[in-house]
Amino acid sequence: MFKCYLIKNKLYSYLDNTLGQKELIFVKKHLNDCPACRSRLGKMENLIKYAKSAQPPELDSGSWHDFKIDLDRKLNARLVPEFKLKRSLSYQLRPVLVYASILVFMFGLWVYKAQVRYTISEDAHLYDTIVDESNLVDELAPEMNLNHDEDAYIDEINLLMQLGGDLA
Amino acid sequence: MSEQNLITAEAELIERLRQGQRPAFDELFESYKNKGLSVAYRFTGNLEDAKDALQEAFIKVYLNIGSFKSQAKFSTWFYRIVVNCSLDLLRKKKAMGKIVKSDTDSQGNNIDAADNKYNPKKMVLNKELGENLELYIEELPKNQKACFVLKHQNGFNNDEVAGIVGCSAATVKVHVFRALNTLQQKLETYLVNPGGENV
Repeated sequence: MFKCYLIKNKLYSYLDNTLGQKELIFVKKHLNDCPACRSRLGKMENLIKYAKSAQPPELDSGSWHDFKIDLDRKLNARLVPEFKLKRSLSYQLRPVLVYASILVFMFGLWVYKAQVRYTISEDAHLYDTIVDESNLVDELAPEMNLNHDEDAYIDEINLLMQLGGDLA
Repeated sequence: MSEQNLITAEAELIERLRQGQRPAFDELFESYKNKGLSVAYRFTGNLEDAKDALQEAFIKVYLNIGSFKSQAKFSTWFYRIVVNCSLDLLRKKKAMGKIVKSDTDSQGNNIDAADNKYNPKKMVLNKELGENLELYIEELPKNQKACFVLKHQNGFNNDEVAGIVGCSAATVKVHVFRALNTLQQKLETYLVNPGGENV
C-alpha cells in the first residue's frame, strides 16, 4: 500500500519516459505485481489517448486563401490606421478655433465700418459741391431768372460754369 | 533539408521580415498556419474563434517582430503569441457571455479514433467521454490547461511547452500531472483501462 502511494506519483513520469534508470526498474516491478496501479496506469494512458485522438478540423486551400485575404486586409488596416484627429489634439485646437472666429468677426466689422465711413464722406463731399455751385450761380447771375426745374438743373449749372469760366 | 539548414533559412526569413518584406511574412504564414490553427483550436474549441485568434497572432508577429530576440526559437515565440491571443479571445467572449463550442468535437473523430468501432456501448461511452473531456479541460486552471493541451493535444515536448508557457520543464510536468489527476477523477466512470480492469 505504501508502495502504491509512492508509485502513484511516478506513473505519469513513467508514461512520459522521464524516469531515471533505478526508478524505472522499481516502477516496472511494482506494476507487474500490483493490479490496482496497473489499472491506474491504464486509465491514465486511455485518457491521454482520447485527448490526442480528437483531431482539429482542417481547412481546405480555398478556406486558407480566404483566410489569408482577410488577414492581409486586417494587417493593412493596422499598418495604415484611419486618419482621426487625436482627442487631445482637438482639445488643443479648440482655443485656436475660437480666436480665429473672433478675428474673422472683427475683420468683418472693420470692413463694414470703413465702407459706411466712405459713403458718408462721399455724400458730404457731394453736398458741399452742390452748395458751392449754388453760391457760384447766385454770385454770377443774380439778375438771371433761372429755371430751377430739376430736369434742367444740370444743364443750367454747366451753362453757368461755362459762363463763369468765360468771364474769368 | 537538414535541421541546421532549416534554422538558417528561418533566421534569414525573420531578418527579411524585420526589414518589412511582405513575401517573408507570406512564407512564414505558409510554414506555421496549420500548426497555429491546431493550437488555437485546442484552446478556443471553435473553428471560427480559432481563425480569429490565429489572424490576430499573425498580425502581432508582423507588428512586433522587432521585439523578437534572435537567440530564442521563433516557433516557441509564435506559439506563445497564438496561445495568448486564444486566451484573450476566450476572456473577451466569456465577458460577453458568447462562448460557442464546436459540434465537430463530439461527432466523429473522437469516436472513430478509439479502438472500439464495433462495440455500441463503448461507442456511446466514448462519445460522452469525448464531450466531457473537452468540458473538463476547459474547467482546468489556466496553466494546467495550457500545459496539458500543448503537450497531449498538440504534441509539443516538455521543453517546448515550457518555452511557450514561460515556466520550467519540471513545472510543466507538475501541471500536466495535476491536470491528468483532475481529469481522471472527473471522468472516472468513462475510463476503463485497456485490460478491462476497472478498480
